[in-house]
Amino acid sequence: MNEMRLPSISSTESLLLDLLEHRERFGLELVEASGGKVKRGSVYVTLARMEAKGFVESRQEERAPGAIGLPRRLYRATPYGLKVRDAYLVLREALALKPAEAQ
Amino acid sequence: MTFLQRVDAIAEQFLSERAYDLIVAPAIADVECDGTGAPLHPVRDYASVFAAFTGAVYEDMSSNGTVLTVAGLALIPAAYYYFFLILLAAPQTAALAAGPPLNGWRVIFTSSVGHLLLAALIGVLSLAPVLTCWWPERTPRRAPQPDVADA
Repeated sequence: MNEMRLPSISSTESLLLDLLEHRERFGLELVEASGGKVKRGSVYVTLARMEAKGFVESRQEERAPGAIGLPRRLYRATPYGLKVRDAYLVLREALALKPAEAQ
Repeated sequence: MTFLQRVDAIAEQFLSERAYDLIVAPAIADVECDGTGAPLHPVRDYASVFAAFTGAVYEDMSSNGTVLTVAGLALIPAAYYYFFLILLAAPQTAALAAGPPLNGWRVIFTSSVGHLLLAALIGVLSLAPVLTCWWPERTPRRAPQPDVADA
């Protein structure tokens, strides 16, 4: 029998999806918006993992000709990522109930 | 060549396209985002780029079981050297411990910190050739920039 593998989502990934739900953001914006919960050194590793899981999409920013340096990357949440986040929120709330409350 | 250019060049040479494009390049771009190419807070900015580079190396190695392969290959020379270290150092350590206290560099044979340093040195020396020989070859991904003089 084939066992379906459920997607996993960490609290940091859930937070990033919250921040990316309504608009595209740069990595540095996410760090600032998270209020220190996401670190600059780890934000792109986390986002790369989330992109591999299909939770976020990214694209390079459009730049004016002659701009200096590497282009930044813009991220946005995918419908699938938001669906997984919502499902885990429901699951966490359900598991947080005491047995008497759950009935 | 600046620190950021060095990290960029090393990452482009040794990391996969995915790790470079998704982790290292955006981290460097964030530092350069003021548009001048110079970091605003050098220590903090360089630390974040270095952390992103380290994370990208780990991601690259863990993506297809490379970590286990590298660890397994490094274990062979490490076990070899640890065996001789124990064989040679144990009687000497006992003799030195019974004698007058040592000072200077010879203390590494009798102190636990010294033993840890030796173990770490063997670990690094075992890992270095494995990484050098095993690391998959990468090809530069950026299209060559036209030379201004040629235009």
